[in-house]
Amino acid sequence: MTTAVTVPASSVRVPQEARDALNQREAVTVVAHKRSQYVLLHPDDYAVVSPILERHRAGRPIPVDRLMTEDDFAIIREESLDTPDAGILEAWGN
Amino acid sequence: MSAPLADLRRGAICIALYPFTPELPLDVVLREADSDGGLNAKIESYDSIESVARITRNELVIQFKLRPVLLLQTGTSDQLPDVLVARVNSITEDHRQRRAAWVAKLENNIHPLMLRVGHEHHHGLKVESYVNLTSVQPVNKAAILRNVGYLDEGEMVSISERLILSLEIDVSAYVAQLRPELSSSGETSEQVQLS
Repeated sequence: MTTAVTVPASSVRVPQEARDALNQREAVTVVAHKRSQYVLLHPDDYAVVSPILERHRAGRPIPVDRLMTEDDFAIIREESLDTPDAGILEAWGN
Repeated sequence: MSAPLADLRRGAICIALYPFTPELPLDVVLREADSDGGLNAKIESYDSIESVARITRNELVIQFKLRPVLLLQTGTSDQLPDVLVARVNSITEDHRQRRAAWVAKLENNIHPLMLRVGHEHHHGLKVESYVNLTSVQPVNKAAILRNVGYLDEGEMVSISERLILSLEIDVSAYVAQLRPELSSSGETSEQVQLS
């Protein structure tokens, strides 16, 4: 696995909470002003997703199901069971 | 009365009649005139697409819902009957309890195929929601009830990025044109000379 840019660990301050999460192989999202700025990954996890990132960076299509998690599949299944709301205008409109 | 065409701009959030995709078994409508000149209709159910292919009927029973949709195209022309939209769904308490990681991706704006909406006043929605870019279809403009809000230019850039992914659009040639200095191996011409 290679990345285009590397920086020494001494240049980066990662809070202990984030280190613990990364050691548990969880992604860490860095937010600023309520918007995500970076996502930190364990190197082994980056190795798994880097082929997809390379294709994305080159503008090549990625099979859409490879971008989806089990939660996404479940959500979409649940959407198909969506039942009509009573009072749609009251529920959604202004 | 339907929403005026002038309201059907790209990025508008509208309440529209959104039909569900037909699934098997298919309920086919059979219309027959009775002896009094009236019209009777009954429904027959077909459990395979092969059996549907053998009949000449062409009316289906489908479920629909009036729901918020995001207009992905400009619909202001009276020359085109339909406009392409993406479905908008609410983020429910059940989602927050059972799909917390999914909700966090929406809130952090890092979901590759969905975008959170409803948290800004200009969206015009009373509940926090998401645009699902995997659920895209045309709707007839006459079936659009009214405009309730809109996404701004920056939000529509996010929509475009997600549409490229969900529709699996190959933009590699376009990207290569924007970055002509990159060779196919991903090295810059300068790096190639140095190596």
